[in-house]
Amino acid sequence: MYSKINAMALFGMEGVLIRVECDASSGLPEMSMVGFLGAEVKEAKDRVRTALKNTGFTLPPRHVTVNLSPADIRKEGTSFDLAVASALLLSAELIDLGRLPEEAVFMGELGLDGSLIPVSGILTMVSAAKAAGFRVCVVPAGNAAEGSLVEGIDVIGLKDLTELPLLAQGKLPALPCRVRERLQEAAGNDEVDFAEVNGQAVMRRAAEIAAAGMHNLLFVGTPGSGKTMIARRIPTILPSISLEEALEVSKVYSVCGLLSEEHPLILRRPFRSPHHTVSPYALVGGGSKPKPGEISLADHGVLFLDELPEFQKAALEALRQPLEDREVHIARVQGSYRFPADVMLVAAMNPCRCGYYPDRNRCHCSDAEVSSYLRRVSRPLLDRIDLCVEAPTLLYKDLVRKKENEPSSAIRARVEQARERQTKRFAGTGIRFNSRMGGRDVRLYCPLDAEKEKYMKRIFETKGLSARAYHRILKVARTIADLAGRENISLEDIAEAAGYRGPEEKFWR
Amino acid sequence: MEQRDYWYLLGVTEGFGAVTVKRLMSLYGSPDVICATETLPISSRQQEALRKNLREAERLLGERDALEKKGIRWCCQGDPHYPERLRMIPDPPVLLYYRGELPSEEKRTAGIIGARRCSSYGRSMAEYFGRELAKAGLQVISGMAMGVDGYAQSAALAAGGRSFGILGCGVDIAYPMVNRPLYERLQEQGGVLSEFTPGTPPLPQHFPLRNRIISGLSDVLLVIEARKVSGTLITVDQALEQGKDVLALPGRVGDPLSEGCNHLIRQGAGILTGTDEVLQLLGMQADPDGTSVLKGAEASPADRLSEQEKKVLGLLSHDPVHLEELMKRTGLGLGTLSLILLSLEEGGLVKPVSGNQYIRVF
Repeated sequence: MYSKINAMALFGMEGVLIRVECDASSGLPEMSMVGFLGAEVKEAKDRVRTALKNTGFTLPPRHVTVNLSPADIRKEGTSFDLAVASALLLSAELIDLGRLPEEAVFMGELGLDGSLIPVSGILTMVSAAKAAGFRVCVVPAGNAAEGSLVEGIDVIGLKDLTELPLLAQGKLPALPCRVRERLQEAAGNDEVDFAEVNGQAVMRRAAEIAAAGMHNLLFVGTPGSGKTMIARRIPTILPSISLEEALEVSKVYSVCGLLSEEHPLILRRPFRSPHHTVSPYALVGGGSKPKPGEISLADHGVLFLDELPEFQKAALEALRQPLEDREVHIARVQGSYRFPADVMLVAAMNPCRCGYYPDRNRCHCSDAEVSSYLRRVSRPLLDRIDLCVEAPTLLYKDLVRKKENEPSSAIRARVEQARERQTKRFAGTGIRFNSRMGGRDVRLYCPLDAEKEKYMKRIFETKGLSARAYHRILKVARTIADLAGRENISLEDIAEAAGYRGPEEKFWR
Repeated sequence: MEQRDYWYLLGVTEGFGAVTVKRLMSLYGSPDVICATETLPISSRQQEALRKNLREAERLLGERDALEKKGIRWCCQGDPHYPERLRMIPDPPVLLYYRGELPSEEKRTAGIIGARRCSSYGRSMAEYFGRELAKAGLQVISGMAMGVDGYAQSAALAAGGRSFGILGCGVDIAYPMVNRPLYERLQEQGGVLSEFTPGTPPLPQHFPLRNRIISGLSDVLLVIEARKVSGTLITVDQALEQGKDVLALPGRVGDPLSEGCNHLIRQGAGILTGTDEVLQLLGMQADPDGTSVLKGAEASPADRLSEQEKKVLGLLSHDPVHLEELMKRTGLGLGTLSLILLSLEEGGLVKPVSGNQYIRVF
C-alpha cells in the first residue's frame, strides 16, 4: 500500500516541505530509501526499523521503498526519522492516522528504543509549516515548548512511538501557545543594570546615544576602565524586545540548536561576546552546510567585540557586508542562504599593546608599535562605527562612590522616547533608526540653517576632519536631538557629535 | 691634489676618526704631510687602509664630486666655512656633509633635545621653546628624531625660524621616516648635517657620536624631557665636556620622563622656566614684556573669552584632562562643554591629545 507523510527540511533559516512517500509491495523483503539523501538520512533506515521493532510493531516481510521528494534537493539532518516511521506503519496498515497525513507535519529523530529525540530548527520549521497552511505539527516532546511559540498552529509533543496510536485518536493535547506571557514575565528582569556603573559619564552618555539611534560604538581605553562592564549593560537600555523580534532571533537560536525545553524563547535582546580567536565563519556564519554565526545570534541585540585589534583580520573584514546590509548572504551550490544580522556593534580596545598610550610616563610602546596595533582595525570597518569614545582611567574615589547611579530603566525610558520620534519621522520610508539613514536621508532629515552650516565648516577646519565624518556627525547629532526631544538639531548637538569622532581622528590619523 | 682632497681622503678612510686625525694633525700639521708619511704612529691596519685609499684617490674623489649633483655639499676642517663652534670641541668631525646651509656663525644657537617618546607636557614645551626661541632669532639645533627633537624643530620652522638637524646616518636618508616632511623643510629653512658618508644607515652606535655635534653646535642646550637612562643624557655629558651651558626643564617628582631633567638640576644644571633665562645666558636682550610660559599664554586673547570658557581653560594644563573630569568639575553637559572646547580649540588655546583628553596650548 502507498502512504505519504509530510516532513520538513531545514535550509539555512528556511523550512522546506518534504514529502515522505512509502510503498510496500510484494517481492523480496527489503527496504530501500531514495531521494538524494545525506549519510545521516540514509542511516534512518536502520534506526527506524530497530525503533519500530523495539516499540512492539512488527513490519510484515515486504519490499518497501521510501522516497523523500522533491528528489532533487539534498536532504540532511535527522529530523525525518519520525515521518519515515509513520509512513512505514501507514503503508503496513499497522496504524490509522486519520486526516493527519494531510493536515500535519511530522519531525523528530528516533532512538533505537523508539523514543523521540529533540532536533534543532523546530521553531523555524513549525513557522514554515504554518505558512504552508498546515494545522498540526508533531514534534519530539523535548521540542514541544519551542514549537508551541508559533501562534495559529497546534503543536503536539511525542515522547516515543507508542504514543502514535493515541495521536491518531486525538488523545494527545496540543501545548498552549504562551509566547506573549513568557515575554511579559521576562520584561525588565535583567541580570545587570547601569546602576552598578560608577562614574564614566561620557561612556554612559555614548551608550545611551548609541542605543537610541542603533549606532555602532567603539570604546578605546586603558585596561580596567569599565569598557566591558558598560557594553554588557547596553541591552538593558535598548527598548524591550518585541514579539516579532523575539521570534526572529529565537529562530536563529533554534537553527543552531541552542534553545532548550526550559528556555524555548529568547526573551531578552541578545548580547554576544565572541572571543577574539573566533574564525570568520563562526563570526558571520558559514560552513559546507551554512549555519548562522555570532552576528546572527546577536540579531536585534548587541554584538560585542572585546579587544578588537586582536581579532583575525579576515573575521573583521567579513563583518563589513552584514553591517551594511543588516543580513548575511552565503552562496553555496545548493542555493544561497540568508541569515538576519540586525545588530548594534559595540567594540572595545586598548590604544596600544600595553594599554596606556598616550600616557608616555606609563606607555613604552614606540610610535611604530602603536600605529601598527591600531592599523589592525581597518578604515572601512571604522567607517561603519558612528561613535568612538576614549575611556578615562577610573579613579579610586569613583570605584567606591556610594552615590546612587541612574538605573537602566530610566535610561531606557529616554531611549524609547527617542525611538518613537524616529519611528514617526521615518514612517513609510523603511528606515527604522537614525543610524540607517543614507546620504540623501541625512540632507532631508537633518537640515542645517546657514549658521549651523557655517559651524560645521568651522569644526571641519579646526579638527581637520575627513569628508566621511560629515554624515556620521549629522546622524549622531540627530539622535542627540531626538533624545532631548528637539525638533531641530542645535549647535550643542553638533559639537557633541563631533566630539565622538575625536578619538578616531586622533588615533587613526 | 689640493689640501681639501687630502682632508677628504683622510675623512673617508676607515679607522681615521676625529680623535686619530686630531692627534696626527698635531704631529704633522697638515693633511698632505700625513698622507705622504709612510710610517705614521698608527696601527698597520689603519696605515694599510690609508695606502689603499691613496691608490684609489681618483675614484674616491670622483664619487665625492658626484655627491654635489645630488645636492649634498661638504666641508672639512681646512675650509674657512667649517663651523667655528665645532673647532672648539675636543673631537671635531673631519668632514661634515650637509644639505641646505650650515648654521650661521653670527646668529646664536640653542640645542633642544629630549625623549623620543615624550609626554604631552614634553611636546607642548618642546614646541613652545622651539617657537619662542626661533622668534627671538635663535637657530634651533636638534637631532630630527621623533618626540622632543622633531616637535621643537617643526615649531621653530613653523614660526619662520631657522633650524638644523644633525643626523645619525647619511644626509641623504630621512630617518625616522615619519619626519620626512621635517627633513624636507629643514633643507629650505636651515639644513641637515652629518659626519657620516652619504648612504650610511642609521646604526645605533652612530647616535652618541652625532650627539657631540648637536651639543657642539649649540651655544646653550635645553633638555626638555629625559628618562634616567637615555641618549639625551649622553648629549648633556658631551655638552658639559665641551663647556656648554645646560638648562633642564623641571618636572614633577615621580614622572619617569622627568627623572633625567630633575637629576640634572640636582647636579647643577640651570632651571628652564622660560625663554628669558635662555636669552640672558646668551647675553641677549630679553623681551621686557616677559616671556615666562604662563604670561605668554595669558597675554593671548583670554580677555575676549566668556566666563564659561575661562572656567574650562582654567581647569586645563599640560597634563591631559578627560572630558569626564571637565564635566564633573564644571557641572556642564556634554553638549555645552563640547561647544566651549571647540571654540577654545579654534582659538588655538586648547587642543585634544588623543580624542577625549585635552591640554592647554602654551
